Amino acid sequence: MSDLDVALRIVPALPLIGSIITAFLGHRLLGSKSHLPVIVGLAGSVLFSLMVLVEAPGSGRISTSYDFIDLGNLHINVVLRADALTAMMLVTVNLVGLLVAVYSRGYMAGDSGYARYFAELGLFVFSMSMLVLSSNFLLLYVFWEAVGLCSYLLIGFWYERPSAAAAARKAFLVNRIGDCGFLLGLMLMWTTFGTLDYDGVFSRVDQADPATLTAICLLLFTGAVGKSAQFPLHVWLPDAMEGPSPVSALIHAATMVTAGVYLVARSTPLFVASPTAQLIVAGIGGFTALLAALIALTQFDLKRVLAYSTVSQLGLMFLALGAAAGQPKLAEFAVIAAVFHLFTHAFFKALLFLAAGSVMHAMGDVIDMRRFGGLRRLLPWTHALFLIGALALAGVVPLAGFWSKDEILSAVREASHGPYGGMLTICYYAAVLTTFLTAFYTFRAYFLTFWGEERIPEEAHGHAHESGLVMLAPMGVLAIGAALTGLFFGPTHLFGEYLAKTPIFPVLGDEHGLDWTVLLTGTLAAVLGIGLSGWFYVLNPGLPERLRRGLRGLYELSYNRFYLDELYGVLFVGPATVLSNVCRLFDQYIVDGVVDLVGWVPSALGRVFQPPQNGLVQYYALVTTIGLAVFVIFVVLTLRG
Amino acid sequence: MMVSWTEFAMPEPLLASRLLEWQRIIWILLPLAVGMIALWLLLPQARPARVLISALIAGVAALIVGSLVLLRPTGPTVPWLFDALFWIFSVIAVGAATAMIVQRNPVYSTLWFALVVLSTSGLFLLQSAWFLAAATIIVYAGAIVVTFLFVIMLAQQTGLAPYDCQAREPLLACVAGFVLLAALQYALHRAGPPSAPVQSFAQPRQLPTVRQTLEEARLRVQTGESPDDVGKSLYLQPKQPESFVGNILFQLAETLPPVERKQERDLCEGANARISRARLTENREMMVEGLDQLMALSRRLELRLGGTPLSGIKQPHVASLGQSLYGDYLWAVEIAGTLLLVATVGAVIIALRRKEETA
Amino acid sequence: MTPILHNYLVVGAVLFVLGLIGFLTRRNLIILFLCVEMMLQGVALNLVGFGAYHRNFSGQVFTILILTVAACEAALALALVLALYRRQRTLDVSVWQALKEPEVEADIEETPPEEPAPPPPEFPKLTPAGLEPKAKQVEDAVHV
Repeated sequence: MSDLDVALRIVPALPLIGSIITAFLGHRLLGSKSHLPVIVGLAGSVLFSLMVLVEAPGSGRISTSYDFIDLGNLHINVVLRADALTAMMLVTVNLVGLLVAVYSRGYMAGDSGYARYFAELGLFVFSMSMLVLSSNFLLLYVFWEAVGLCSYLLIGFWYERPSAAAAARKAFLVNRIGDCGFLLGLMLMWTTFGTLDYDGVFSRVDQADPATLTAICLLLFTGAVGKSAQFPLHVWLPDAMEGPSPVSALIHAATMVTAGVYLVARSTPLFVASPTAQLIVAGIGGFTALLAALIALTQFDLKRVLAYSTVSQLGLMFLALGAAAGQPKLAEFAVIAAVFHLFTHAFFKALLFLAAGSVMHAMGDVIDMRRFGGLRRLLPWTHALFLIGALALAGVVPLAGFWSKDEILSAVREASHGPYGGMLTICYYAAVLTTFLTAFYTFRAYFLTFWGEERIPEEAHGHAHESGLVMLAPMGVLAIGAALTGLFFGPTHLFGEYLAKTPIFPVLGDEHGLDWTVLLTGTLAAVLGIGLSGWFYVLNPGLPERLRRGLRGLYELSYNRFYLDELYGVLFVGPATVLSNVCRLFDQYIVDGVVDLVGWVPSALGRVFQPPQNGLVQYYALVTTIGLAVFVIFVVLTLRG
Repeated sequence: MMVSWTEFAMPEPLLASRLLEWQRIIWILLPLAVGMIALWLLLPQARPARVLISALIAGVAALIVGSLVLLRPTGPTVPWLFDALFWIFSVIAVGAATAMIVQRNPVYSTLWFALVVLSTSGLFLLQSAWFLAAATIIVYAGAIVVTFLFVIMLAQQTGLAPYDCQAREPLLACVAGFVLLAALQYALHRAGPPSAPVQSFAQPRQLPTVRQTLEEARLRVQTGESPDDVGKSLYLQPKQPESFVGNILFQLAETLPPVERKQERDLCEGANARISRARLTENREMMVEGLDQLMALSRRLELRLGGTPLSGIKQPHVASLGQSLYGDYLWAVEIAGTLLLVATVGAVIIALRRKEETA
Repeated sequence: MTPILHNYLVVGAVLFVLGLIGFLTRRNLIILFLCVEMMLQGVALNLVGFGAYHRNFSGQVFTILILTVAACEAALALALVLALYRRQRTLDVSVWQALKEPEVEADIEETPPEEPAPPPPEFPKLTPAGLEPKAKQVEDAVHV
């Protein structure tokens, strides 16, 4: 067992151990120190995942642990696999996880479920680590579900709030739909390829019927749509901020929504072989990106704006993942662009959520931007950190978002010259528009929160204050990442070169230099967005209101999230409610009725025979006598025939 | 009393063969029903007891039974004195039992019970259970009844208690008892008269005959007859399994004292098995061997029992009962003795006045 | 000389059933136990009868054992009766109804009309001399 093998096992093991310790000892013994096992475990995991990052070889390193399923010719082993993609994901997941855990130490202090929170957090990171470490689709599916479960637990962390419980249920159920598709995809994959191993499947892609392959890809993509909150299954993510803010940071940045992107990136060889599927991925991605950005324009809930921006950014990633339709040579570049954006996005989105959490913390859990404003003097550090995150999200040079978004735009633009150029061109302009809108709504949120007249809601009880070091420090680290990762990896192509070692990208693409047109377009869109936002919300505070009155219909459409929730309510939830009511009535009156009858008959019989049970010994003797007489008569009449 | 009124006790015109089944059953049920009605009227109830009417009805029941008994054909097997004594004792027993359960005063009830015990002991005497009769009188009439009286006097000093004057569910109890008794009587009726006791062949006076039969059989085997044919002559009465000489010897061996009994019984069983096997396999030597063993046994039994006839029970004295008690049933007796000891201790503990009760 | 088995069996059965009826109807704890003893007598009669019929001592031995057990039973039962009597100051078995179902009402029967109490003994009355006492005084005098 080499060092790498050990490291591979330690990375998921440490959070799990920390989680178990916290779960069993936290409530009774550790109390307010419940965060220690998980934070220590996560810190160890970060170290070991850095080691994996350094040592991960180009070819996938396989490290078998034990047989999981051995059924006929179905052999599933718990196999950990290290390659560049996995190593990169491991670092992201564990680093963000660690920072979120440290931040939570301050944010969650004093909560009655403190120990439970950290136990679930550790489990969440463990599940995500195992998800990226597994070397076959079945194991990936297992931890896919585990991640879903953890997200359910954490979104519903304050389960005594009805809205939190409903949000958790919604997240779980919407994910179920996607998981259902994923599972069907796995079954189809099994019948087609006879194996679920990454290597086995990818090496047999050529043997598969194109239609079947497309079906497999689309089914896998259904899973990704669910988990990564793409249209039409995006509705759960904005509700998911009912959980604690650090959980939102974790879900949006590291452990949950990235799983879908990871799945599609991991399955690149499959998708490359199916241009139809790729085109659908790109289409859905582009559409979602634009839709979410449009919705985010009018939301007043700070976290909800960020949530829709996540949906939008994930849409961009999927757009990149599908951009190589019909151009296998472009695949590597496009996928790397998507994963790079995932990587940078993890930093600045986590930063933004933690900063939003900090604002919320200071405002006494008020998150409606209409009720506070001008906080830049009250929360100077949070203000600075949020600004870094917002600039990165908007894609301003030289922050991280700029570089990764530029790569995505370049990839899509390049793809639009290919065989499916028409549609991809539309997607490209949608992406550019999204960039502009992103900059606009991000800074709308920024200006509304930190500029203008200082307003503080009553819930803050007059002691609104800057967060402590324990919360600011992780945000600082993330801010450094958001500011510098792009500059460090983007122009140098270090990230691309490293990720290209992943053996699943068989087709080596061409060198891609900087596409100045795209670069300028993207930057221009971002700056325009920021400028317009500043003009709207700082210079002319009355303008948005007038505009809102002028474009009432469009505004309402955006504000009500294009009525998608209502549509789903009518189309799916309503019939399901009716059906479940029918089932409930059936259960209540027919099933329960039968059960009650079974109970009622003996008790009725009992009531018939109860009166003789009057406690007088002579009545019992009388019954005995009658029984004896009957017995004697029976014997006399039968035995002697 | 209503006794064996099938073939034994039916008046001539009602003899069994001329009666249908249901008619016979009616004859069984009628006196029972009448007796139960009388009992019901006599039981202590809210209304004043109708002694006169119930006595009349009971008299009717007795009359029915009595007429049945008196009109029956004379049984040759039972001497008239035994018969008369039996009737006297049983009438007293049943009468006293009835009086006991209808009596309102517990003291009188107890005394009636003593009378029941006395008459039962008389019935024991009639069955040659001398020791048992004495023991029952001593234990019941002497000890238990006296204890009962003590307790009654201890617990109930003042006159008649209300609960003694009202029976619980007298009608239902009478009906249930009637049904049970009728079922038992019908069972007896279905069983028919008892066959003569199986051991009627085994009498010590038969021993010479047995020995003679054995000697003849041995001679015939030696002169060359087939063992199977000879075997057929070993029955004192043709085709009666009980009259097989080996069987007679076995039953006589049973009457020996325990120490000898087991040995002789085993020996007799072995010889009988040998003879039946010899008859099956036509083995002369084995036949002769078995016959010799039986002859030796019969000689020993003749010496031991001396040819005196056994009257009634084989050894009608307390010695035999003692032998059976402390030989065959030793364990049971020991356990019963232990039980008595434990019960004595338990009774003392239970009856002991505890401190909190006296306080 | 052979006694007829049937006769004894019938007498035994009648004693048994009479004892049973007594057990079912009487309410005095002591009488209940007497009735049980009588049922045992019926059984003993049966056993002795069978023993005589089979010409062995098994029946008698069994009866002796029954005698032993009956003695034990009487001793324990009377001790229990005493213990119960100390608790409730009555020998009525109806008092002990703790085993009844909670829904069933307690079955305390109406106490029957007492035997008409014997008239108070007639004492010779003194002929009053002098003035006749007033009615009230007469009443008082009667009560005294």
